[in-house]
Amino acid sequence: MDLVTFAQVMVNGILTGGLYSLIAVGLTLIFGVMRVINFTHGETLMIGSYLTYFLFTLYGIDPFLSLPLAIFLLFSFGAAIQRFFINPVINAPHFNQILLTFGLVLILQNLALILFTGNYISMTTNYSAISLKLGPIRLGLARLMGFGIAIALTILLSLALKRTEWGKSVRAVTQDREAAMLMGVNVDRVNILAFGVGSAMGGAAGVVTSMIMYTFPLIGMLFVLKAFAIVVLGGFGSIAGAVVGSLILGLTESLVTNYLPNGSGWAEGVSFLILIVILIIRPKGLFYVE
Amino acid sequence: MSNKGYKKILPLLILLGVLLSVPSFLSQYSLHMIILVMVFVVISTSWNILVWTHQISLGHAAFFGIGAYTAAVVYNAWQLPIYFDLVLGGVFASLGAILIGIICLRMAPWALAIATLAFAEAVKILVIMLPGLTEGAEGVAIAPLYGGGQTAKVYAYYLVLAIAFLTVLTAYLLKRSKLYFAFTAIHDDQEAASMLGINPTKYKVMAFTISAFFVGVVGGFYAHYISYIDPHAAFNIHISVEAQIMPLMGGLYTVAGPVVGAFILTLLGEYLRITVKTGYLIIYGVILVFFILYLPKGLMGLVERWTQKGGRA
Repeated sequence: MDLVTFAQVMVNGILTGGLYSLIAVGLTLIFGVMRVINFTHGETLMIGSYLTYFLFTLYGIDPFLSLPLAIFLLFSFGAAIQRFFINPVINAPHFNQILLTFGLVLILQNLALILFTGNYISMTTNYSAISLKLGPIRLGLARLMGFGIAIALTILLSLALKRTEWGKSVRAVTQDREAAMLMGVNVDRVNILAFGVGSAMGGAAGVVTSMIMYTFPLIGMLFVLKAFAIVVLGGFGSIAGAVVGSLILGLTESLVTNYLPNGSGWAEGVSFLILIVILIIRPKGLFYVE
Repeated sequence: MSNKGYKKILPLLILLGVLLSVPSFLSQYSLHMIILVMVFVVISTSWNILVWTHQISLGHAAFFGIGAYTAAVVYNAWQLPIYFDLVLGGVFASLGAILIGIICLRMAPWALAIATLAFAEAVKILVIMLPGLTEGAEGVAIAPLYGGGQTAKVYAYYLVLAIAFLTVLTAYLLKRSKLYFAFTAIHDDQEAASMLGINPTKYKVMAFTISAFFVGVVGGFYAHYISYIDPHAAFNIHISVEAQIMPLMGGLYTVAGPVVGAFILTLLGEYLRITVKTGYLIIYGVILVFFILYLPKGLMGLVERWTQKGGRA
């Protein structure tokens, strides 16, 4: 086996894993707090990526500048979804909630289809062709920057969860909703904020996908399925688990793509295989401690 | 009591009569539509059986696709009578359901929801990536059902009507059987159910197996009827979506609800597909959200409310 190729494959996997973690962290945050399977999470990515694309192609605004805008916009979007759609059914059976978010996905996806057509679109920034050389290994600058955004935001969220009052109440609700309520935590407020912050992370992931790959109306479904696999892998509600799970998925996909015959076709199935295997052997996630 | 039973049965007999005589007065195109309606009656009724045990599948397309491919591959290999490969398609779909069911049994309903969705995608990728068996993304062609042509369509209609009738009958009988009490006991309180000696595991897998079987059979029928099947049509996520939205619109936990939902939404979907073309599924999303928020009991819930009011007046 060629070592340079192997190192390149590993680096690619880690970079992809960074993007995955940005999506999965938001999803796991929302699940941890609300115990809701939120399919709209993928659509926050879709909205973020179209926003970035149009700001760039129409007004020449760099993705780095659209990032704060996407975060703000999708925070509001997530908060509104929670307030007006999820909250009314918060005590209904799980399954009503799942169908509700699925319905919202259909609306958003098809709205995008109507507005933007089903075409794959991608943009070219002045740094998208640049790649850095680390010895014999090549690193696309855009992918590296996307990775940087993902890591920075994930660290920021972890710090917020550890250090701030909001973070403490989020963790309290994640551990035990009723107890948190009895301790005077305003659960409704925590819900809205968690949904907003989680969706903002999804929106940021959209900015990154727009920078490094392409976008199309159904991109959300593609990523949300992977994110679910990661969240199951890392343990529902665990931020650290989501990060590690993302790296595992990114690396596995990259290895499969390069070393299996017809690898890129099989790579699409890796996440589903991981999901099913983990559900069989460790249904509470890889890192769950009793 | 007997009077009430009579009142209930008469409309059903009329409906059955109409359905049996449909080919004599419908155009070829309308007949095609009614065949599609019947396909979805099977899918939505089966999905609803699963709901009785409070399990949710977001991947019923998996069972449809497994049935379709089993029928197509087996028929092309041995040319046995199609009833054989239809049943075999159902059996294979059931095996898939047992597999997923056993994996997810001890877990919350949401785990099953995600696992079924992943299962459908995983099977689709397998089918695409194993062209030796399935011809991959190209799809499989099958000889037209009953030799093709106009009379063939009439036969096809009676075949799918029979499948739909058996599915709805099974749902109806299940609903009146002891099994249904076991099902709903699991739904209401799993721990209490196991204390009463009801083994939730057994009944959950049973419901899932029955549900997948009929979807597999009708998947096989669809492959024969269209005489061509490819991975994207067979494992289309729209099938999984329609499987949920039809019972929800008609009324979950009822027998008639999924049938009503299948009729309305198949015809509406076809109308929208022709008139709106791009993005018509947005209407499905709106219906899904609207019914969850404002009419969680569906149209049958509405009917129930009306008849109760009428009774009081």
